[in-house]
Amino acid sequence: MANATANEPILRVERLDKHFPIAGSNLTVQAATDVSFTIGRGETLGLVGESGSGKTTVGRCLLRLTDPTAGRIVFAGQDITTLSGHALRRLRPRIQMVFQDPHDSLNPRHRIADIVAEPLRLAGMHDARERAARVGELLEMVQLRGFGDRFPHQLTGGQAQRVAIARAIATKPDLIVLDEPTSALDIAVRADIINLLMRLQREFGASYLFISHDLTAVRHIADRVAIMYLGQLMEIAPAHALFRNQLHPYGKALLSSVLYPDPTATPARFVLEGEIPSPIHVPPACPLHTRCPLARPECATIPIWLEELAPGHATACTRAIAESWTTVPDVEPVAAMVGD
Amino acid sequence: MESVQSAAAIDVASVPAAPAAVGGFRGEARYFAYFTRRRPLFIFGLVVVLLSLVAAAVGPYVAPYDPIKATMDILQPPSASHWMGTDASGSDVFSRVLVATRIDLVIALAATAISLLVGTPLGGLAGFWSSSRGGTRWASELLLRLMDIIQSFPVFILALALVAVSGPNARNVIAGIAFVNIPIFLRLTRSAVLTTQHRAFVDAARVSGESDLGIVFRHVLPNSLAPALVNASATVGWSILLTAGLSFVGAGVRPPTPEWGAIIAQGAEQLVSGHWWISFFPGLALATTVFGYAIVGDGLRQFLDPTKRV
Amino acid sequence: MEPLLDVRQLTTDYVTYAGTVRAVDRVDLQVFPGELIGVVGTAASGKSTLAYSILNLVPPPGRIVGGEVWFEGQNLLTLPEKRLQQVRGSRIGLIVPDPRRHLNPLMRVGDQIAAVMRAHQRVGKATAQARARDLIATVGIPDPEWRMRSYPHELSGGMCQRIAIAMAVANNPNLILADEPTAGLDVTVQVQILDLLRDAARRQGSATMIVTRDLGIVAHYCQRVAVMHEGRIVEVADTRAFFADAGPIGQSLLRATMLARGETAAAPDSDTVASARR
Repeated sequence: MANATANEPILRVERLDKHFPIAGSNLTVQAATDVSFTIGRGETLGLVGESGSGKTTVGRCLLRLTDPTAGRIVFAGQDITTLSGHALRRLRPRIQMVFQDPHDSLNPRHRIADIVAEPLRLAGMHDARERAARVGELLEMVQLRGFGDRFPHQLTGGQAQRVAIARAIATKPDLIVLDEPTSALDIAVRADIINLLMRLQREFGASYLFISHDLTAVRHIADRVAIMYLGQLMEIAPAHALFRNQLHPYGKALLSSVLYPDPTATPARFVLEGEIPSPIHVPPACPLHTRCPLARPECATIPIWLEELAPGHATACTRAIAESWTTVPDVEPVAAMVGD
Repeated sequence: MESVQSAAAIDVASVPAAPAAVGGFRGEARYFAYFTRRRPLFIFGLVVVLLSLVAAAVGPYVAPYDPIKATMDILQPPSASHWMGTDASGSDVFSRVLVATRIDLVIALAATAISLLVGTPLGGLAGFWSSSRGGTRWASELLLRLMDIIQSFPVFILALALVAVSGPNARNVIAGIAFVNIPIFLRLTRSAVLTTQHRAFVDAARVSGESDLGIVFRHVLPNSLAPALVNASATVGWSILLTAGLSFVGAGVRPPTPEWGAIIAQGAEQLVSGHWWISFFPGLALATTVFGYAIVGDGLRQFLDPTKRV
Repeated sequence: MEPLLDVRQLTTDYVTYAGTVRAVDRVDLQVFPGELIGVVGTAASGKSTLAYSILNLVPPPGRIVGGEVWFEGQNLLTLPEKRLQQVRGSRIGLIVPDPRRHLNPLMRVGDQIAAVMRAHQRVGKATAQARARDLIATVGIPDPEWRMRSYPHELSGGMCQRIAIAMAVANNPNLILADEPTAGLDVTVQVQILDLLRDAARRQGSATMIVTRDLGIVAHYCQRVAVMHEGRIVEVADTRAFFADAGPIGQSLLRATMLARGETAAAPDSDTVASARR
């Protein structure tokens, strides 16, 4: 895939916070806290984490489906954090999204052709014949030729997701946020959707933010992977490096839990204690310290930051960072903006 | 299994997909036939609704007697020539009841249609705005409080007052009934919108660049109409009852125009002297019709509920 | 070895207004004492319906139309309902996906476990409560004394599944049927639940049948695997043999599961299982 460091990233997220207030109390759901990352042109960033980790919230912030509490979102050099109204709608053709539940993301009263045509119409393609021709091309690309007259309920989950993908690529966007695009699908069609997405990326060069809890899918499609826990980034690294070696205990726990369909592969199990706390009461300092078997007293007091310990591979584990200082004393502790 | 199954048990195991050929209009028609076959009461309701519509359409042309003209045959009990007897001015009660179907139905249908046409778009906006900020949020709140005020009056008293102020004629009865029904449709649509607008296709439309109004009227509202439409049938029934009630107390359609409530009121004077048939038959027609529309409304709600489909 | 469960020619239909669907089609399957067997297949392959058919508990509009289910010397399909109820929950434990929906929301979880025991054993209320607390501790829930007084909505999905496992094993069943026991759970919780299920079964010597679409679970937890496709069992094999050399349906499932190490980059772009069907 494209080298992210070679050119200006298509997306730069800086210190993004999203805290949902809870009505009738002073508490907030801390869905995302101090999240920073970049996505290069033509690159796929996998964003993984368990339910409640805030990964979907981050994706929705990028599309401005929710407004961030703090931080900056810079898309193609333009700050889009506070765009609204007409300016925001003009940006829409360039950032698209594919949703988790394919049937729910298609208006049940519209025909497939109208669904795929909608972003084209709104982007200013007013000639109906031109639009119909383009819709035909798009449906062909997702292998649904002749499906234009059908309604969503007549499609299988995999077909519906192809329609959603056709709609997302209709305006040739620079960035597509894929929010768990395969997790609602039957196992048999997941691979097809992943392969379709990868083929389309080769053809159009769009960047992907691939949000998923399915680590095998992420390993397959992503160039880099970011791991979230309780709204915060724990680790971010090139995919091959991360799957070989994790620099954060949470990354270790997550990856050692994956059950590969191979009885001979028995990874060393790294088990966390207890269960994920509520995002209303996120533990201070390192959010993992309440469950981490390697935690030391200072993990509960020192605020975390991401630091690059290997090329492109950053971790938020203060213990791992401290150990790296002692083992490689000449490395300057530089707070890294990962992926630049 | 032949009987209707409880919905709760079905989600225990994943039910495999039904054979592929179902879907679209033909599938709907097929399911409707299946659905209707095992619901005799629903069939009864459908028959009543159908009969009422036919009677409204052709009643005045097939009535055996002039429903208004006075004759010398006063207060005759039901017989072969006068199936429902005659009233105090010698008019045939059957003809009057038959012809009255038209005016009662026209008033009820028109009133329901108006309240639907006004209530649902307002409900759509109220629902959509209630999660926004600033002025639109206030507009939504204002609408809801206004509905609270309307609904805090007993429906009949409010309709009575409206008609009393504007004068007792069919047009004012329609306006009055439409007005008191608006809150029902507004609230039904609003709550449907509150659910619909969190569905992913609404987000998808926003991502496609759709404007707020486009989202409301192209995506949210069309998918939030079902509760209001289903309720319309029952509302027609209640509106007939309201029309008859207003006429009964003299605030609606005036005699000698044949109207169920007015005929019942006329007959009520004769009840004490044992001439029961003048009030009984229009009363029966009224009750059956209201019941029929209510059953059909209830049946449609079940029919459209996807979770009940087996 | 004598099988613990012997399913013969079991056939189950779903009768709908649109026609009849044969969900389970003349299935033969044997489960041996103490073993862990995985039943895998895509959605709508009939694997869940098979599990519920074994318990003669197919939800309407499903209907068992043929076959026999022999368990501990009796055919469950001809057993009177009363006797059948003694088998369910006592000799055979059932674990369902999304346990929170299947726990009684108005009953404390400790009471629910105790109720399952008292329905099948002659134990006093206090004894049942004490055993329920022990069970909650056994399934790895900290502070069982306090947790047994919780209502289901106060517990996470993972904890609810632990409670469900406690209920399933409460009467020391000889067979546990687990239908997608980790559906909807996060991966780190999934392995904990599966470890727990395996250990609980092992401790009591129960056989376990795991119904799942996840071949990863099969690879790491099951000794044997049965592959279902369109209502039929198309393949039964030892796990190692299956992953070394699976039949055509098993192959397409394996490919679809997107094996790690990027080996599936060349996977065909069409519906893999659909093509195997043709």
